[in-house]
Amino acid sequence: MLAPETVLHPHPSLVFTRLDDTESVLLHLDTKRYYTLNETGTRIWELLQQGRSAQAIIQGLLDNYAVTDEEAMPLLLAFVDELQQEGLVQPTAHRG
Amino acid sequence: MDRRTIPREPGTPTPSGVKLIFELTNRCNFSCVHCIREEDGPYHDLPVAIVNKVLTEMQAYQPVRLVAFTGGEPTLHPQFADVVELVTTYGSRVTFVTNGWNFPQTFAKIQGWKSALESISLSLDGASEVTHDTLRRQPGSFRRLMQAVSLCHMHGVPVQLNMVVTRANRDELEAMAILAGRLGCAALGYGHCQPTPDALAANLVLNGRERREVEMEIAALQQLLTMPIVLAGDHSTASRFAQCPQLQMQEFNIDYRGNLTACCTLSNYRGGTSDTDVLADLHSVSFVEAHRRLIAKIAQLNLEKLERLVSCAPTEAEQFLCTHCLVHYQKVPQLVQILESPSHRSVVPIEEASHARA
Repeated sequence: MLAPETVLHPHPSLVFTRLDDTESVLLHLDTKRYYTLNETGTRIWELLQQGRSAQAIIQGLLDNYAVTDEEAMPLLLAFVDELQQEGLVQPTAHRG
Repeated sequence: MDRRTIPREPGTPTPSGVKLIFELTNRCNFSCVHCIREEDGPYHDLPVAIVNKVLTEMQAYQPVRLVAFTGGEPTLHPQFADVVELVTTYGSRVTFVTNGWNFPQTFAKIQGWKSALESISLSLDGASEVTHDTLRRQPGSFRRLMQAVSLCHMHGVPVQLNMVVTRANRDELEAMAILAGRLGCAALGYGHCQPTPDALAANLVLNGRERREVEMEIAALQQLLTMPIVLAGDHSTASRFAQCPQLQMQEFNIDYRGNLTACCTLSNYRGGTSDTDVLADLHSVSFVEAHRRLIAKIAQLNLEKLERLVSCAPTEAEQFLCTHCLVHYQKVPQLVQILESPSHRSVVPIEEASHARA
């Protein structure tokens, strides 16, 4: 479970590239693997890059998409789980 | 999220025909010490009308298989997308070289013609971020180029990485090949750093022995990897009359001023003081006439080569394709002395070396 104040940091070896208005691609310079992000993933990633907390990211999703508070948290959790499994985000840090 | 495997680009058959190289502009947003092109202005962009004229006149007597855009940084041409579109109307394939700095914006403009793109050549001068950014004197350029690689990969546009081999990166040849392969690039090109006054002053130019060692290393990589690896342009040759694609008339170079030139490397050569390689101003001369002058120039070059070989053995510089012509055309007269000086030559007679030390 993500604490609301959790901040996830993108791995420093990642190169983020927008493909168009919705999709984007991540290239991991260490593994040379490409990962595509859909529209929601792209939005979450951009918020991660801005150093936003989990709570702020959920707020961002609520502001931009037709999702409820109850739907947004599982969405973020599932995405973060995939990011962590692939080593795309650094160990979490908490804002003091 | 979808993790993609890295595909290898299958070779696709292409129609026969020649390759036209257009230097679209002499402007560049980088300032690389090892670049062969003159950095200072005045700056010119090749008129689209010249591209159209050349294509029309050449297609009348021989097909143009491929059109390559170079520079400068060709994507800085204000009508870059128009030129790409124009070439596609002739049915030719398109390729261009770029440093990738503004690639997302560039690609957005030409995306509509991506099926006509044979490949895009991205200039990467180091397998590591620090090597590339240092050589390119542009922090962040490695990552910008990786964005370009990512975009091409996702859009299915073949990428060739091009590395200028200098003293600063010659230890990264193998790492570069592995990087290109793992990124899913279609090909990798190496090229010797050319002996411009600036590159020599920065100690980036390898001598003849070192260049041959690099060539052997590249040959070994070609054996090891299935990805096509080429040594573009300059290379050593045992043949006294070896001809580059330009001298074989498989490729034709039009400079940013609209001239047909005898060589793609010597054109606008950094530190160059003469236009001895310029054959015709295509603003006023037909391409057929320019082609006649090229044929005469090639014949003259071979005759002069023969006469020189009769009188003396080729120098070390003359045993490399491009440096041979650099010397022959006297593009940078003072370079001839430097290239034949004991400090640059790989084999120096003992008595001469002793004299130099003294």
